[in-house]
Amino acid sequence: MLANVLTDLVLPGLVAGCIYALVATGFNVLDISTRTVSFAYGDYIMWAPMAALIAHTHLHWPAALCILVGVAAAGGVALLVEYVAVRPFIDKPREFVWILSTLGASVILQRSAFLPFNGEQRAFPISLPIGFFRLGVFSFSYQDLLVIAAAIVVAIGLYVVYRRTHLGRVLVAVGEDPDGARALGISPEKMSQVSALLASVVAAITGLVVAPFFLVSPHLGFQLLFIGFAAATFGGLGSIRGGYIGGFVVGFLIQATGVYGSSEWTYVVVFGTLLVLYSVRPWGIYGVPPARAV
Amino acid sequence: MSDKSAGLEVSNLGVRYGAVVAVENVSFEVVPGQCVGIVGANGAGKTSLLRGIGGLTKASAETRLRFRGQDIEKWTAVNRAKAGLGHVLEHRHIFPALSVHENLDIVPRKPGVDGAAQFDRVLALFPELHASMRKPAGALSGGQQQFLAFGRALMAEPSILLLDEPTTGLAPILVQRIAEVVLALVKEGKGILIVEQALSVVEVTASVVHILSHGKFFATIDPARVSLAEAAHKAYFL
Amino acid sequence: MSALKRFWGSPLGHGSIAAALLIAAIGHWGTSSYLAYMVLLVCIYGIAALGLNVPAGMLGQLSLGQGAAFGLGAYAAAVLAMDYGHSVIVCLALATLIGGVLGVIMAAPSARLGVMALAIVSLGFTLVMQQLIILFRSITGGADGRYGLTAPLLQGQVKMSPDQLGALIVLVLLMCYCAHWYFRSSTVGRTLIAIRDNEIGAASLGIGTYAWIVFAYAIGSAIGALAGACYAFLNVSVNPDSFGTPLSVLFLLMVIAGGAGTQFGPLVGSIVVGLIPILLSAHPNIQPFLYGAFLILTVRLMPRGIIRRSAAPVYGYFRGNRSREAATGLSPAVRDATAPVLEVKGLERHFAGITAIKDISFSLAKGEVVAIIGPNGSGKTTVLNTICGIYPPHGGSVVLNGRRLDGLSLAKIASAGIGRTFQVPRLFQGLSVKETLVLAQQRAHGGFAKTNVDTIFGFLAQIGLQEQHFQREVRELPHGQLRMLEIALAALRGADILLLDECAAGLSAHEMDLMLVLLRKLAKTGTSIIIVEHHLDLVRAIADKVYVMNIGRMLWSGKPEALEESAEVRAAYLGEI
Repeated sequence: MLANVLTDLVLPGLVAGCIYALVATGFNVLDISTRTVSFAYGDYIMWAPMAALIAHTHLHWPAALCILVGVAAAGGVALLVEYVAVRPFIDKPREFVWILSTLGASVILQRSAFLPFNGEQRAFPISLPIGFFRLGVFSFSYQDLLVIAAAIVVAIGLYVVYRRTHLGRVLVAVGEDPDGARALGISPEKMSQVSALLASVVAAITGLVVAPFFLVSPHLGFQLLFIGFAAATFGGLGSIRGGYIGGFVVGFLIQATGVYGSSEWTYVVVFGTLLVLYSVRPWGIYGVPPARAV
Repeated sequence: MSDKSAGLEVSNLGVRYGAVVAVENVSFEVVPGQCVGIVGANGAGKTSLLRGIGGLTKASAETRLRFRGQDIEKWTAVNRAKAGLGHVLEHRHIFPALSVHENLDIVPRKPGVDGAAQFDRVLALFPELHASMRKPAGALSGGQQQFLAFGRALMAEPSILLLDEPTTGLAPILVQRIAEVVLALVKEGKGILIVEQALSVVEVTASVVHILSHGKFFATIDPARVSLAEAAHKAYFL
Repeated sequence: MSALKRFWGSPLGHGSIAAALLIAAIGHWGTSSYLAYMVLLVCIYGIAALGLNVPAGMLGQLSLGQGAAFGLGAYAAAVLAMDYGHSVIVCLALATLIGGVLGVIMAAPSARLGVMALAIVSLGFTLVMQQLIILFRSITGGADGRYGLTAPLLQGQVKMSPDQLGALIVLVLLMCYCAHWYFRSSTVGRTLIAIRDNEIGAASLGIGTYAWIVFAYAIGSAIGALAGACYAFLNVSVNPDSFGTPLSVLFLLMVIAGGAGTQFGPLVGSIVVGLIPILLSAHPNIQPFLYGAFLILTVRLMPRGIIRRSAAPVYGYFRGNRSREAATGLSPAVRDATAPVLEVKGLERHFAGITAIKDISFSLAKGEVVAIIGPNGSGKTTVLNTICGIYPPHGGSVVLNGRRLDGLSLAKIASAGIGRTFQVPRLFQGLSVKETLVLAQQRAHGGFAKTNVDTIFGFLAQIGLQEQHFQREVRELPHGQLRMLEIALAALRGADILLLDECAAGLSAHEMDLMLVLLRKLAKTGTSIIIVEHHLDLVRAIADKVYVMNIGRMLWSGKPEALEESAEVRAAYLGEI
């Protein structure tokens, strides 16, 4: 019985948790530096495997090159959206206009993904060979391990960047006080670009590692968006740590719903949990209640 | 006689927010080695004036700003700061999540500048910060935060420093420290523009004081020769 | 105004003409024609946009849930008509009701949490709705949907023909348009815009936020569901592909591009946005690109939308109250020093470990004017903020006429009889001066017993706001008029106590004189006033007592004449090093 829980719930839940932790992390990276979140972020994630798929299917490029194309696509898309839809509003994050502009960008990004394959869902061909790694009761496929490794690598990488590099501290500073940063000669606009690029790296890793589990379609980003939001909110928006914890909570919830109920209830369950969270502790585990300035 | 072209010349400064005129037709200059004061009641336009000079708020089209021989009125705030125009904002903006050390360290340095020597200079001026170097800046007291904000602006080695109400909310003994620091900086050859609502620091440190009322200069006096309190009285009844 | 002009100006007037033209045009083209279908679709979208205008336009919330409400209404209508045999009218009515319930469910848990939370929750609802449609496939037909939706107009009649349905849809639009018009011109509409434009300013008029947000979402979703039900009948079918997040974004675009919160905006937006598929019917794939681009361009270039005038007319109320004070013939209240109207004891408040104020105690008698002075940063504004409830005190108490106020919200304290003005005037950009004045009158505390409306209008006239200027939007007013208007609002509300924070800042000498006259009149009729001020002349002219603060504590108190002689005041305030 315990072995069943392990193989049905805990281990797959762990993998799912890593996936959603990665999605939440992208939001947190953007929030840390700009106090905004791109509603098009899911589409950055989607465009990495989509671009790789285009290179693979239409151009027949080797796998490694396709991966690079995917990374470049995520970066290009993120920078474009940052320039058009985010940067004009970084001085007024509390007016939330950027929600609308990034939504508009999301609509455009999703629609352009219909063009290469007429909107069909495709399997993602670039993945690790099928095989399992077994250790006693633990059994992971190679792709599972890649997901877990990716989550660990991203966590360590961001820790190093934010805590140990000069750039990381600047990225935190501009999010806390853009005017104060300007008065010192630090450009919040430039840092907004850098954070978009950083988030796009996380997005590319997420998309390419996760694509073999889902079908690649224009809707992929959107499917991940809401759950990623829920995970980030759970942990407290702006906290990398919180994003990981939130991701795991959500991952286990979704897995449990699939195993003990039906996966058709996923959104309902996640949404219900979010409503409960909002009633109890709206700013999440590591978030701080907003201070009021009069 | 200091070199005029190395200083800041402000001509016809105007700042508007939609229909509301905050600052109009303000002209003055600050040269290195001089402290210029601007006093005014709340609502007179002091912060708008400094933000217009620093670049954080867009000044009107007629504004002309000349800094170290260059016309900077079209420059971004970031570029003005990099060129040596320091700005200490009101309400002590510091980065609360970063430590004191990180707050000071984060300031971009010009190539070839010795970071350690700069740290030493700042800590010499504000020895109170030494004990709190690893503390997050958000945990400091009001006075310490003000010193940190000051020290941070100095890390960029500005030639002209804009100070927006640096003594707000500070106990008299700390106000005295601020005055000492300003005098020391002036002696070093920096140009200081200090804007205040309370008169005390300005009286002691500035060689020229402009009195701001309703966005315009009401009078300009030499505080050594004329009582600032009396001159300011008509402008804002203080 | 001539009868013709009045007719043309009223929504029923010009609306019925437009409706009649529309019905005629649809009849001419034939209801089965593509053009007629598109026009009816735009009408339906217009209904949904009018509904969404309430939470998203007037209240300024980014609701992404209108697609969910639309879908819910469509499915509700389908099920009610096909499985329960209800008539069209009943289906529309019930769908509207169900939509309202959805709105309440969306907003109730999230209304206190801000724009971002509501946006995410409303987004989530749309996704959940789609999943629920698949899950309950026995009722909803799952991914295939349901077909063959027809019903009679009223119970017992023969099924509606497409012509009749078309006319009904246009009439529903007309009805919503008129209701929306009067909604915006009513107290409710003004209240929502006030909350949107300055939540704290609205609270200081006694307007709480939570209930209004839930109410606005309920209305928005109800009308969205009504539109969805019409859509179901128009298409004779429902399926899940038509309702999703893209539809929510589309409705939001219509409201924002048209002019958020305005009376014409949502319709203009739905026509402009609705034109896109009509003009580009040959290229259906390009349309989403245009919607996305339109959205981005609108928020960057035209943030207020096509219809830029946000203020609305006021009907009726204004003339009603001006003679009330004259009628009651009130005599000036006698200052009673033995019965303080406000008592503050040991007030304390800190921020992030730094003590902002401590040991603040004083009392206020009826009709007394008290000034709090001190250098910047001494905590004067914090005292006002703590008394009026912007933040709760960390120690001490505030008692108004025997009732404890500390810990209550700003809106509740304002309703209890305290008025407040702020260092930066907190007024409502999108309302006209007239709307603002009426709003304050309608939120009056205890009637107008203390305040002479004519006095206040006379005062406003002297600063340049005569009645003919009342239709100006507040965003157009210069600084001095904004300040005076804010005080006028507090006075119009008939507050027992006025807290004025640097009300003279930025005023000319002439304006200050006028302010003085008004404040004296208010004090004479029994209003107690606390002013935080730097202008000592104003303080000497009006204050009965002065409190001096320094570094969070009360340094000195006494009569204004004694101020200059006090050595401590000179040292702290004028500051001698």
